[in-house]
Amino acid sequence: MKRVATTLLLFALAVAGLVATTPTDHVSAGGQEWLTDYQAGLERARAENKPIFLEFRCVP
Amino acid sequence: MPCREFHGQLANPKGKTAKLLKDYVCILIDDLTGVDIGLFEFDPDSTLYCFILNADEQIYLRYGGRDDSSAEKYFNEDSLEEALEKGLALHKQYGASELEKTERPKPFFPRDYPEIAKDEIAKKKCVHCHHLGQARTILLQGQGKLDKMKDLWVYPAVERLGISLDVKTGLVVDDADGAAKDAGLKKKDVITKLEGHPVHTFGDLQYLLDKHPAASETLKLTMLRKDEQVEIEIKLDKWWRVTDIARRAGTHALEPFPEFWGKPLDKGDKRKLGIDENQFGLEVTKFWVKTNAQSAGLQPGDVVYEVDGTTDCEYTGNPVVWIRLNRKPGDSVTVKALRNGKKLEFSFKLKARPW
Repeated sequence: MKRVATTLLLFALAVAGLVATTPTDHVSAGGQEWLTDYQAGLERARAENKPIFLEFRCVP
Repeated sequence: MPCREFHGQLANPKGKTAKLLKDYVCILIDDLTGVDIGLFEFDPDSTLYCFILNADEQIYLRYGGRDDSSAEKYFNEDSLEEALEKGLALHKQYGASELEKTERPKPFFPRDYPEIAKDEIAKKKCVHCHHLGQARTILLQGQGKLDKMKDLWVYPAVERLGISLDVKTGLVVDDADGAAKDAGLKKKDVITKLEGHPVHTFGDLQYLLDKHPAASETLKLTMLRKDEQVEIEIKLDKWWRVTDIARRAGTHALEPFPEFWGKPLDKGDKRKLGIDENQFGLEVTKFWVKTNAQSAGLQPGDVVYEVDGTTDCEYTGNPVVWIRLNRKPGDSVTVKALRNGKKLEFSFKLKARPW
């Protein structure tokens, strides 16, 4: 229960941080950058020769 | 793992997950408006779904999938890390030209569903996953092409075939039963291929299972058993694709509207009422609008146990689903229900939609 509460708190803080500080084409939290522009992600992956982890979030 | 907790782990990854994600370009999409769902095809009744691919849009693997019990059953840190490791290994193979390129599927966008174009995109609303299932049902229904006994049972459950997976290890068999056991599947087997196509995750397995022809009588699986490659052929029964479609958004748009909503009783509650555990037993919950069933006298709390003489069915235990699949708008039905131990009967006409 404590672990779940901690995770939720971290998530809430992460989300609060994203909303407050980032442009609309990417979000970052905990040192992990998440792009929200698919085409920009493809270009970045090509430039850096990295695979892409693409998450579709289905819960509004 | 609850979906929001899993999102939290991805948004703020730690330990091994964080280390693995550093080798990826991470993209988060929460509005499907411009997404090619022909390429990124997945179960629309998901809470989240992930793909690992490369800049050429070659998909290496899927991470996601669900069953009737939960939308989050297959999400956990261990299987995610395994998927991320496999993705990196596949990317390396791709770079070394050791992977065959797959042909890109025909593009298809949410806007290609008229319902979504009209109700979401034209109104500048976000397109969410559940809209896709609903729009597909409306489109096929409108075209008169909906095969109720085929098109609604999408993304079948491996449990129906007798396969229980250890969800933390991805594709390791935890238990085999029924048809899978009869075919020779054993605990600790690792599933590696379905009909010859490689599977790296549960998401891959369920995606390929969905592509397997509904009319097929067999399904070939390849497994790793210790160091040996083993192939089995599972015999499929007529209802191998069946899942609980009452939980699917695609079913909400299905005509006719059964004229009542309800909650299926569990086996214990059925026993208390003297209803066989395999028979229909659904407690009417509430009427959001004035319906024909309500006008006929059906009330919240009544337990429906029979529809038009049918008390049980091979593909559903839910009388509401039975009505949706077997009747059409304008038909009349007769339901029998229990109220305080008394057997009652109600007949009413079915409309296409509640509103």
